[in-house]
Order: sequence, then C-alpha cells, then structure tokens
Amino acid sequence: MNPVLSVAGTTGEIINIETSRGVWTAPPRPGNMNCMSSDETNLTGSAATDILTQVPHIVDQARAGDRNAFTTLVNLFHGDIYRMVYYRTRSRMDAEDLTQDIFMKAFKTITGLRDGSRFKSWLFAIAVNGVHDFHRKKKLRSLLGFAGPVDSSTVDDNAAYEGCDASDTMIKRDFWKEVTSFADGLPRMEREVFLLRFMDDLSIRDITRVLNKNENTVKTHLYRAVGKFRAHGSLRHYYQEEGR
Amino acid sequence: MNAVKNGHLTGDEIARAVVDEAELPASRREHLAACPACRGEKENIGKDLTRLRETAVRITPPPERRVVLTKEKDTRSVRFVWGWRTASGMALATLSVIAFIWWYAASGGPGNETTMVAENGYDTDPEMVEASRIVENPLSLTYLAIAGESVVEEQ
Repeated sequence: MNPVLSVAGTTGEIINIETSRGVWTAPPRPGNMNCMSSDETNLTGSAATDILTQVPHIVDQARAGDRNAFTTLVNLFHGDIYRMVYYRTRSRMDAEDLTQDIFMKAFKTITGLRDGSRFKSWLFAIAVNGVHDFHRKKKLRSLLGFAGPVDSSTVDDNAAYEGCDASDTMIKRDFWKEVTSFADGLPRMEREVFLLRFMDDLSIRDITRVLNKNENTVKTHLYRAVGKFRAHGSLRHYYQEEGR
Repeated sequence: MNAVKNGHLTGDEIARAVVDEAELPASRREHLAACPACRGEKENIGKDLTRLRETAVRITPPPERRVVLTKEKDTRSVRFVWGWRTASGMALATLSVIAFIWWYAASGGPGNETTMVAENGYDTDPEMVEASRIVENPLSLTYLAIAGESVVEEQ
C-alpha cells in the first residue's frame, strides 16, 4: 500500500502517514526543552515498522521531485541524524548545524540514490563524512590558532542543560565523560563501527554500506570494540548506579 | 552437559557472540546454549550496550532548530548572468581605455600643450632671456663689452 502523506507548512511540521495498521502521525518537533530527551522522533511500534518499510516508496517520490516526500524523510530521520552527530561532536549547536547541512546535501543529491531501500545507510554515510569534515576543519582551525580557548562542547553543555537539576546535570556530564573516555581510547575504525552499531542502532549490513567495508571487517572491529567495552568497568558501574 | 565441560567461552568468544552468535563454531554455540554462566555474561553485555544507547538517547539535549529545506537556486543561469554582465563590463572598460589612449595620442596630450606655453613664455619674458644669457655666460654685458666679446646694445 502506498503511503498517504499529509504535510502542513513549508518544513512539514505535521505528517500523517497511512499504514496498514492505521495512521501514523509524526510527533511535534521539539522546541526549547533543555531537560527533556531528544527521542521524540524515535520510530517505535508496529506502525513505525510499517513506515520504515514504506521508506523506499517515499524516497522514490522525493527523487521524482516531491518536496513533501523529502520533508517526510527529514521528519523520519531527523532525530537519528541529530543524535548521531551529537554523539560525535558533543555540542548541540554544532549538531544542529551539521544536521541541517547533511539534510541539505541529501536533498540536493537524492536523485543519485538508485536504491530507495538504502536511504538510511546512504544518509548515515553523508553524516559520517560530514562529521569527519567537521573534525578536520576544527583541527585545522586549532592548528592555525583560530579556535577559542574554551571547548565549545563544554559551553554548549552548559546551555543545553540550563535549568536542569544540578545533580542531574552532573550525572549527564559524567556519563558523556565516560563515553568519551571509552570511545577516544578506541582506534578510529573500532570507534566508528561501535558507535554506529550500538549507539546509532544500525545493523551490520547498514554499517558495511555506510563505511563501504565488507562484513567481516566490520565484525572484526566490532568484536574488538565489544571486548574493550567489556573490560571498561566505569561505564558498567554507571549503569548499576543508575539502575538502583 | 558435555558442552559445558568443554570450558567456558573466553572473553573474545563472548564478544563475538554479542556481535553475531553465528560466528562462533558449532561446539561453542552449543556450550553457550547450555552454560548459564556464559549465556548470562553475554546477555549482561548485551543489556549494558542497550542501556548505553537508551541512556544516550535520553540525555541528549533536544535540538532547538529544525531542518529548513531552502530552495536550490539554478546556479547555471545565475552563473551565465554573472558572466554576461562581467564580460560586458570588461569590454566597456577596455574600449574606454583604448578611446582615451587614442584621444591622448591624437591631441598631443595636455603635457605637450603646457610645454609649448612654457617655451613661448621663455622666449618673450625679458627676465627669462637674461637668465638664459647668464647661463650661457655669467659675465655681465659690460665686462663682455670690455673683453670685446659682445657689443652692449643699449649702452
């Protein structure tokens, strides 16, 4: 069954997609909700599964020049891409800017995507490259002395968690510190496959497409990363503390 | 029970099982299925990884800005217009320069005119005539007359 798209506004704030299990309405986009999570656009449940199966058809519509169809794709994957970028930049402003760039690039080049079923991995490939470019430019700016003396992610964290409970903010910062400590200790490829698999929730097949590596290579890096995760006690300790 | 007796899975095997259980040899898969300790270890790591993702999702600050799809401009036509205008301007500027040079050369230029005026003044002004004579011979006309080199006309 073809999805029925109902999009209101130029940026498509409201989306209704008719599926075999009813109409799925995209949740409202977040405003300034600093202490709230960013999982409003997570796709869960059977209706969401239906929508994901219809993504290739929506992609075909977008490729044919249907702007509303692309807006639907933006709404479906905005949360995933924003978080993916945030995990790697640890700055909300940078994540917002990069997410905008990633979707604009996807919008301009979607006609080059032949297989609509690969949209997610194709989009993540654009995102991975975008993040690499961002870090490369940041490093260059730092080498040339253009970077400010204060880490932008720290400043941004302060703004992002403004208004939150102090202890809550502390816990969040500790969590990111632990994640950063663990991820930074991994070789580049191990870190990338680990984040894509366990933080961004991509399948191994999707990861092979995103990184353009064969499955065995991806799995080998994953084994090693998981082995190191197992040995990394502080993250596990964090969960045990939080679980109480 | 034989599978359990084969020995527990190593850390590397546990990691492999977490990533993809099918990657383990059949005997190790049998052990994993039969051994509560190894299965528990594998499941714990899987739970930790799930919690890692869930926690990250939960505490990621939400975005404040939406993605805005700006209309893509037809860069080819813009480039053509820009090129056409630039070419026209450059052609006009070149023609102006050529015309100015031609006019300058044809009229002799304002510098030449000034020189001629100056030369005319040089010839008619008595002071300039005297200065010119002094340059040629610094002695006064009287001395020149005595020396027989020149005739004092006025005296």
